[in-house]
Amino acid sequence: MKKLLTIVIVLAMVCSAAFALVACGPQENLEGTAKVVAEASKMSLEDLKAASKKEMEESKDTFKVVGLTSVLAKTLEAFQKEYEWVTTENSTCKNDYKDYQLLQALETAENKYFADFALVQDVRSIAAVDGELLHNYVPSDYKALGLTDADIKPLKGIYFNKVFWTNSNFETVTGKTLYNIWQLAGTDADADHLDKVSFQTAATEQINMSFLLSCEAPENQERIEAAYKKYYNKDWSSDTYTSAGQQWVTEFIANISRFHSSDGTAMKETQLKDDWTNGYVYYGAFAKMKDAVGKYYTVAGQETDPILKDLVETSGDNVGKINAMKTVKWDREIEGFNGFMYAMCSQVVNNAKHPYTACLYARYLVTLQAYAGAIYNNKLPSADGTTGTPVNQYGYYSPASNAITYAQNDWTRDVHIQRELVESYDYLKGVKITQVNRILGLIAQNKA
Amino acid sequence: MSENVQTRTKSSPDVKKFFKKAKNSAKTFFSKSYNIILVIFFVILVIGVLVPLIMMVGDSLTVHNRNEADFINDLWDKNVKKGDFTFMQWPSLLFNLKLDVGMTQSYSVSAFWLPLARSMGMAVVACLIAVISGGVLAFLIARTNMPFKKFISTVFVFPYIMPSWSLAMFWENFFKNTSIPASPGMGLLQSVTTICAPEWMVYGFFPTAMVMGIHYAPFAYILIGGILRNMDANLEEAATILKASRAKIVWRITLPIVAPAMVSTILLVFASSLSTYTVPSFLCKTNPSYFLSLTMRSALSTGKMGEGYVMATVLLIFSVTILLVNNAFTRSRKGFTTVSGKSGQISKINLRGAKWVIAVIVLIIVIFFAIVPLFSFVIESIEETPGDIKTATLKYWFSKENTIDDVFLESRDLSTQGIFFNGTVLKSFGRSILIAVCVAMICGTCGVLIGYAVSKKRHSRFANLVSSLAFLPYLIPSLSFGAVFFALIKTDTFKFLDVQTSLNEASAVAICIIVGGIKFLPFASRTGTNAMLQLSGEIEEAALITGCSWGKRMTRILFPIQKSSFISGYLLPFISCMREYTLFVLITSSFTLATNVMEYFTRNGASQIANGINLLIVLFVIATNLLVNKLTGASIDKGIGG
Repeated sequence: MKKLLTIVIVLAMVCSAAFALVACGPQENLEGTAKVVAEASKMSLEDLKAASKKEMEESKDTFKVVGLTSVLAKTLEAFQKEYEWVTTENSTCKNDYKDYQLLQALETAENKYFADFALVQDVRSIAAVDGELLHNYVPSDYKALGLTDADIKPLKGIYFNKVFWTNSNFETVTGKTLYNIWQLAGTDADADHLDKVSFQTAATEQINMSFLLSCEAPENQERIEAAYKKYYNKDWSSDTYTSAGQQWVTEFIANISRFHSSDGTAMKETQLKDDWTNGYVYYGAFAKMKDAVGKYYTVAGQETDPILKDLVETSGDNVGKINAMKTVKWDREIEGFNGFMYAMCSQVVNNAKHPYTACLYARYLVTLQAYAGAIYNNKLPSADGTTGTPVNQYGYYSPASNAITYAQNDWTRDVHIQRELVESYDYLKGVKITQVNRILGLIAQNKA
Repeated sequence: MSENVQTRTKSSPDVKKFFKKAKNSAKTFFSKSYNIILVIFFVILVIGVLVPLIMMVGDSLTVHNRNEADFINDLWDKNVKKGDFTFMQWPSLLFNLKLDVGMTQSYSVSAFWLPLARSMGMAVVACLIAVISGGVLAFLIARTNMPFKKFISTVFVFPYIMPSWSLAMFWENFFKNTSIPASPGMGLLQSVTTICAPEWMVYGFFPTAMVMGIHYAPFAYILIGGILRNMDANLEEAATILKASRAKIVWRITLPIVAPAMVSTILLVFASSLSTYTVPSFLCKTNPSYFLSLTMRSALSTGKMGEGYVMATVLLIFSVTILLVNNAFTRSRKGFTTVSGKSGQISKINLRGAKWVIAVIVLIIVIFFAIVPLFSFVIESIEETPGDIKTATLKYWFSKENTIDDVFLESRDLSTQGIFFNGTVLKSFGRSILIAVCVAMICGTCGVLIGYAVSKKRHSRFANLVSSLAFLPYLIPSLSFGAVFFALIKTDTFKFLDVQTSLNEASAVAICIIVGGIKFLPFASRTGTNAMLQLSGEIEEAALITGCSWGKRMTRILFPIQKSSFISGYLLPFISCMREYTLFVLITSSFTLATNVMEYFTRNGASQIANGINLLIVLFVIATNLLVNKLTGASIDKGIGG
């Protein structure tokens, strides 16, 4: 009896405790945000401002912005100045998420108020939860803002890109030049084959997974087959592979000789300090070039190295050192593609308590005023090589305009789009897990 | 009717009797302090631990998004949709044996079975390294006349204080060389000696097991050393009088006595090694899917949440199995009382001339793994150009001006001033200390209480259940554990704990204390239980006879006797909490904790400041350990004769 009583008491306590925990948050209306966002997409700027002002004045909660980039905090500061009803007291930004952490947060808070606005990287993530956890706002005046139909589903906030790059002594070290993507696939038996490839694993870097998947997209096959033909002097055909892209991906993964842990480290340090004489081809975020601009190194052998000795600074604060950026060569025209262009997209979070303000913020983010305020930097070299004038940071591109002030050695957004594969929402949203698993399996089999 | 009345009148005394008996049973049950403690902790742990655990297992049986639903439907010809309950996530990962184009192994083999086998093997080797190195050192310090004990004892715990990834980074920087294609440049060993370590020594299984083993060796040292130091000398003296050989004494007396600590160490190291992510992510550059923790993270990163949680549950099953083995071991043993109140001086083995040779070898190993990495943090925090000591500057520590020109770093209230003048860094560091101190107090005290209650009812299933529940948080991946509380603070009831709602860092501090208090409880509960199990019941009984109250018995008798072990129970959560990032990332702002700010600076190209913060954390913990040692005579390395 004593035992039974103990069990009954304990069970009752456990059940009530578990019930209390599970039931402590009320379920909120799942359809409300989608409806509001759809309405906001039809509103004029003035109406949207009025709706935002009204909801912020009535709200007891803070307006919350979340994402993966520091641009958000900078933009929120400007947003507060532009729209005075959003203040430092009633708005907040958390932008130190990693992509998987943000997804975890979105999913965990599926039925709760987590945030109003999210800038999400990788459209496959958006596709998986679109209309459920995230809602897409399209400014009614998107054309006047400079956006095209390709920029609105989902609404692009900022473009980024990843590119193939090498050291500037690549040709000297390898005796070859990088001119065709098929050099990075195939085998040693192929002419000009390059077998030193450094790549951040697509097993954890979502954008690299999207890049590899995009290589298999039907719309990209023509350029990949054309590159194949130029490299092998024959038309592409295969009994094994369903597309040239699939073959390239399979052989490229098998050819990766190093999985670097971070694009930033690879761009700033590894390529110069450790790999200068190794002739690696790297694939990584071009935005890291902005960090390389400010990095100066003293490198072993710089006095005698035929290329390094000409790069040594002879005046200024960094006499005797070498600027990391000057040792990087990326602006080649590679047959096939130079890299991958993708976007971080503006999304209104389900159960947002300030959906109109989230829409207003999304709209503000694509304006050139917000873009220049957050992303221009006067420490980078302008077209004439001087510094002091605010110019666009490397690797960031405005979806609203191609006519912005680019830094030295950068291409315009449209040139990047033309020379690189471009992330396609329509294609990537239809990608099956089986395709992802194939790539993950190939990576697992690689013995770098 | 009359029959009913008859039944009622007949049953009435029975019911009364039942309730009276129940009342008396409850009264008797709750008259024992350890029963009250067990019930209270049972309820707390069910809410704080079991619910998250059930949610995690539930996640492995749920379709999380449309892609997962399509995959299951295609693969198994089902018709599931998002949100559905399904067992199919399991066979999708475990038995997807299809060979796709270009693949030489099926997805299940390459993404699950092989990584699982490697993880298991690595965890076993890490356990061996930790237990052997920590145990041998504990023995040398506690039971021999080896010189430099104090220094070695203090320094040996540094690898545990340091984040495990910093050891991994140090390993790579030391052994990398140009003969390995995956290796970025030349490491220290090659630069100084031109020796190129083979690839297996730099990347993959061996270095991961070594780093995990070295990182947790202090844990074995602390637990085993505590017992060796406190054990009753009478046991060995009796054996000596009976003319037992030294080897026989070690084998038949010493080893069985330290066995619980060894099993606890194995349990902790195995569970940690099996699920470690950061170390393999540094040391598996040649194969980023080498261990199961890497493929688990990959699944979670690529939107295959169900698969990720299946892997997490598999890891959990293995760890729980070890936990059950540990419990069975604890239950079946005949008794490990080592502190009886009658003990004399422990006899020490005279190593004679060999003591200097052994001491020098130990010193070299300890300095290599404990001091050199610290030194490397100092260097990295002062070098303007990483890797170039000629560019050393103290500006990242002392400059009042911004040290880095970066448009993003200048946003909000974040500056890049030197660490000692940087308000963001200093405030976040203060909050980290506050949280770590509170978490240590909660965990340490709870650990002592749980240890007391469990030891008092050591053969009771209920006590074992509470003990096991207290250990479970250790087995739940940090991000998943944090996510449960993240969901909690997003509810209207608990939104005052959400820093993004309150815009007050106090909210983040409060929820971090709660989460840390549960997550780091295993350290304290294990330490507390081990310490209490060593105490002979006679000690408390003697006090009880003299009419000493429970509070007095705890604070005046039990705690002082096992002070060093209990204080370890306070210090271990403190250390873990100070350097934690993943657990807190969802429930803090970008600038709440020192680790948040460190991560922010790392990501934004200010690695010197990030390294400086890391160094500050490590030095602070070391200083705290030394201060506690000075003030109380105890420390995490105490135990051992230092």
